[in-house]
Amino acid sequence: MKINAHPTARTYLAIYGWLLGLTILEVSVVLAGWPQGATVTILIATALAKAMLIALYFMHLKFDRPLVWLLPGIPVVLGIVFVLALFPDVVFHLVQRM
Amino acid sequence: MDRMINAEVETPLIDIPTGKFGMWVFLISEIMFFTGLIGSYIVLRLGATSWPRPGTILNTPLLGLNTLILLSSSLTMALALHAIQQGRQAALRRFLLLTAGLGVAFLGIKGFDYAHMWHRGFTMSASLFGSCYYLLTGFHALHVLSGVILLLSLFFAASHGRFSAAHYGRIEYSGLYWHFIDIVWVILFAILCLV
Amino acid sequence: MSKTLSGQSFWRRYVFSTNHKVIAVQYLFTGMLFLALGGVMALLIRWQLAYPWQPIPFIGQWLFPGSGGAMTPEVYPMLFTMHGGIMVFFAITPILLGALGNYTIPLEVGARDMAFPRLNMLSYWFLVVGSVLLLASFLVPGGAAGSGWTLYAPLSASTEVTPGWGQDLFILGLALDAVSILMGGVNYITTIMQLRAPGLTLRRLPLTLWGLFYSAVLNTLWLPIVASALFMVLCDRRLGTAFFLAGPLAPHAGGQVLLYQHLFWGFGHPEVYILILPVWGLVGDLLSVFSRKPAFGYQATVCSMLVITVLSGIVWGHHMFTSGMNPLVGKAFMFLTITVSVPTAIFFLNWLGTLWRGAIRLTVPMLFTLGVVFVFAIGGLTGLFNALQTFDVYIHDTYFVVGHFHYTLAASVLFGTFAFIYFWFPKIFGRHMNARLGYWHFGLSFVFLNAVFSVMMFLGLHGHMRRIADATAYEFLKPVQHWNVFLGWAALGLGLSQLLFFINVLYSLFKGAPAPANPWEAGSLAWTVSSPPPEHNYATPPRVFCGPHEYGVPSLTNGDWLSQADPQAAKLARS
Repeated sequence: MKINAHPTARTYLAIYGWLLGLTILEVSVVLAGWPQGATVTILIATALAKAMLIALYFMHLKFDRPLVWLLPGIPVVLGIVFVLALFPDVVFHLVQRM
Repeated sequence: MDRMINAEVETPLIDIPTGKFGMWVFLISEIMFFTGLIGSYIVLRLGATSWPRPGTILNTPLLGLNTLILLSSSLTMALALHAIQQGRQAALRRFLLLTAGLGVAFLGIKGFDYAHMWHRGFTMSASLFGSCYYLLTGFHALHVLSGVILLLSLFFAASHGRFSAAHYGRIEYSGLYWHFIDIVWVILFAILCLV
Repeated sequence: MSKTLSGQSFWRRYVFSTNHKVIAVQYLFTGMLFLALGGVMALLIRWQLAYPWQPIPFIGQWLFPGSGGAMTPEVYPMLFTMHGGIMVFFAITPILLGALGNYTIPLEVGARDMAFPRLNMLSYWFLVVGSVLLLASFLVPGGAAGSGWTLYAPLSASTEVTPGWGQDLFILGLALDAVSILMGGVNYITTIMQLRAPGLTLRRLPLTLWGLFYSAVLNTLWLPIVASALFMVLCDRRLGTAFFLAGPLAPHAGGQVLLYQHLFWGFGHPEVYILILPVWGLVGDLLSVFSRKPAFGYQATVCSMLVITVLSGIVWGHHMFTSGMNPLVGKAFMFLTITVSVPTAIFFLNWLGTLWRGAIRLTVPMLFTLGVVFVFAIGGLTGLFNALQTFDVYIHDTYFVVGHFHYTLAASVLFGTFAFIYFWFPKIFGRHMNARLGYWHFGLSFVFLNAVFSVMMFLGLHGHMRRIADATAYEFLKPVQHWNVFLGWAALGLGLSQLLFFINVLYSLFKGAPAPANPWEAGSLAWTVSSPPPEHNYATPPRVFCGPHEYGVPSLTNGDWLSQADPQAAKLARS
């Protein structure tokens, strides 16, 4: 894809279609009452997929030069690392009983 | 904002307009802000001894509708940018207004939903779920509100002919902000409202 | 201050200006005001510790009319809280980020102004409104916040314990200041990365700007984390939530107090690097200018500062060794914290390498720069001790820590501030500062500063806790109480010495000798324009041919340095 090329209205509508479909899938899975583990996995996957579609197409990242990816990329990675660092204390309660 | 201050600029780090670079830097801080909020929610929930099923408290279909509204507003925002890139002024104004309108609809439904649930006893103090729910969706709603105000200001600027096929930077950068808020909602919808 | 004929009204030119130079001066004076206020608070704290519950001379009757002029136990926590909060957010940040950053960045990159001038103006006014809220917190019933500048939950998060609005106003004031800083960050990062003049590659950027850039990156990443935490504290206080409350204080279950500390220090640790990075950059540049030598190991310095920037975000747990945090995680934090000393040592040795065999010019800015090198060495070395989980268990919350961070933060940053002002004053105001007053200022400050903070280390090792109002209440501290008296007088000496500085600034603003474009014979772009610079800095974008530290170039026949904008440099310079 040429750098700085712009998607057509058709492309935007197609992405929108995918976003709608994924949303309907999400709501269906929850209303159908599947087991918690499967539901969580599917929902996280669909949320990530929708986020990526919006970021890549609507926010134009797919068509920007790769260096632009660094700008949202750094805080996303950092954010994940930070939250993971909270797990031992807050999630697993592996605190020291003083 | 698409004009550069220095006419000949040597090798900017990334060859994109100043305004676009600035908006992405701002979005970095926004990503980290929501990381603090959403991250806290995730660890508090995973560390809690019990957690209600959101579906038993929240109005899932209504929230689903709100999601569709916000997703549609991202589409109209993208189409607004697309229109002005081709110099179509009337379409730009139409799509900007539509986006703002959808944002207002999102907020209206949210407000109605809040009032309804609060009245039924689901308040910020009722449970950790309540605290997290109102905190996260509340801050998100504040961002949507700022976005709507921004869009309306763009609409007025567009009505005065401020944008053209050669000059559409502010539309693009505002679009980035709007799509970012949409992404935050997409995540919240899945991991807060549904799961 | 600018020789413009732009015909703007007084308000647009000097109050609501979008010109980065005006905004920088606004930040400078605001910051200095709060520096003085924070300093007075420190003196009140030292008085109380030196002569517990004795009436304070001169100002006591006015401050504490109800208790015969003596400090009260309710006010003491407010003092150390606000001293910390004011110094960090309303004194140092406006001076070293707001003023130094705003003034130097556009000039040094060769731009006419910042990338977003109106955003820049807005950022200053957010600071002003935030500081009004902060000052208002002293006047509400219950007084100012008294939970420490660290605002730990549950003390800060529960209105059962801290009912007054002072805590809330402090948080709101900080929130507005945070917005101000973030706006500034957008401008600094964008301007440094995107608006550099032709020829000004990243390898030719002055070190001051590298420091400011890294600082702005850290702010952009980590300030929002503490903002989220503080909003949650506000919700706990006023909206009935319990994110950081548990047990009887909490309206509902599930909150975790320790989470607050993680969120706070997740920002809090990068914050100390945010404050010191511009100083490191400034020192790197000034050592070069006043040794008439290139900055030794420029690229290694820039890289080490980058490594420290990255590492600073993943070491915050060393503030929490005694919090009950998981010990294995603590070990990870300990390891990472110790690692920071490696890049720090690298750029520190590079500083010494710049000095080595240089033609040293002991100007006032150079003395303060050398002062930074000295105090930062001491502060940094004590940091190694604090980094050890095992050692920290003994000295956490003692004056050893207070001494450590005042050496690295207050002392280094203070000297860095003075280096900044003495060095850039001629450019900003077009006048020289008085050198003799400057030398006295340095000498006295250096003596008193070291007296105060070195003694604190020994007090800490003896076990003197921090944030207590009266050491004589503890039997084991009575033998060292005379050191508190010593500290009180040394602190007073330090405070009074600063009068020399303020007098110098005020006098020089109006009566200082006119300064030429380049009084220090410095090589970076800012020194190629007049003092003060034209309203829009450069009529045409300058072209850059070499780095900013081309001093002592061997092939030069006249003079000992090359300006970055000198076309000769294309042939003669090393880079």
